[in-house]
Amino acid sequence: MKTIASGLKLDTRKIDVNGEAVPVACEHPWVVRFCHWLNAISLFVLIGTGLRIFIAFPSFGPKIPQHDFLTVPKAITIGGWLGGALQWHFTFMWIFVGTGLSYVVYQVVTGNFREVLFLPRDAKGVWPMVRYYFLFGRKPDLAEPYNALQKLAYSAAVFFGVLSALTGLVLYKPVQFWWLAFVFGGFRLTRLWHFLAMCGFMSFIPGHLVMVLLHGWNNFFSMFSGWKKDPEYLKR
Amino acid sequence: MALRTWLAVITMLVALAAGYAIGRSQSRGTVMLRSEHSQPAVKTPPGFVAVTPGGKTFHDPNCKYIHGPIEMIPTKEAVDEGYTPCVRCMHVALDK
Repeated sequence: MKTIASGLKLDTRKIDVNGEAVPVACEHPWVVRFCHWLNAISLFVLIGTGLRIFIAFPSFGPKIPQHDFLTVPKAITIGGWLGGALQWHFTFMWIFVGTGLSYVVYQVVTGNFREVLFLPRDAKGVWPMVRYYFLFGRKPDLAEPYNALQKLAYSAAVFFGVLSALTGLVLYKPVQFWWLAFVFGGFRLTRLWHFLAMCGFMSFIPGHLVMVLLHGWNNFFSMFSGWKKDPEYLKR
Repeated sequence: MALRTWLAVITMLVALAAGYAIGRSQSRGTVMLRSEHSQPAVKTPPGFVAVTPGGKTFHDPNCKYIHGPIEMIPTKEAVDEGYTPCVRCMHVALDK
């Protein structure tokens, strides 16, 4: 066990690699990995079907006259038609909400949220990371598994998840959740918030994939095995 | 790292743009439906079906849910013009 900067205790070991003892840390407990992959699949289906549902009324204005806000190619959508897409969407929304809730509850109960939650004190670490990644800056020292930019991205993803689930509830049962619709500014604006939450995910996912590409196989494989080989913060 | 980041970002943007372009070209040949709310025909049964000029669905001529003057056209033509099968009388086109 090793206590890292955020006060969190990480399970660490040493493994033998070609006769050399290499430290490994359990960064992703099985609950996190399970929720991550299930969420990835459900997000893929939810975005694909959501776009198909959107095609049926591609506007955020009044119903008549309708001005199409965006033309989405049908080939990049899932569900075949409105009814089919709705069935898929309503099935996978439960998986998305279920795994999302499991993830948040697990993080809070175990205290792991300190590893990923973006707090005001992390703000000063964002610019050095941006400079390092995009502007040829020096690599900031890392004292914990996630840097400030990652924390910002993952906290934002949780925010988009909560926003899409709450606005989705209003769109699913607008009569029962009229009070929630009121909070979001009415049914029409709720559709817009739901769409914007999807846009948030659509900007998060490519950024996330770029980072996966940059950080290589060891980092990617840790999301399957849970263990990360020779993490930088263990060298301190 | 910055060079690799930009390369990865450009790769991702190219992949996204290519995916969108392929999606658009794939969608180009598909029929523009008169109503995006109804299920398109899964099968095109032979023969003629009844449509109305301002309508969105094609019917069996004896269907009681047709409104207005009917016009008989080949099923394929109805499908190509974006009409979708009536869910009450055109089960055969919906494979139900």
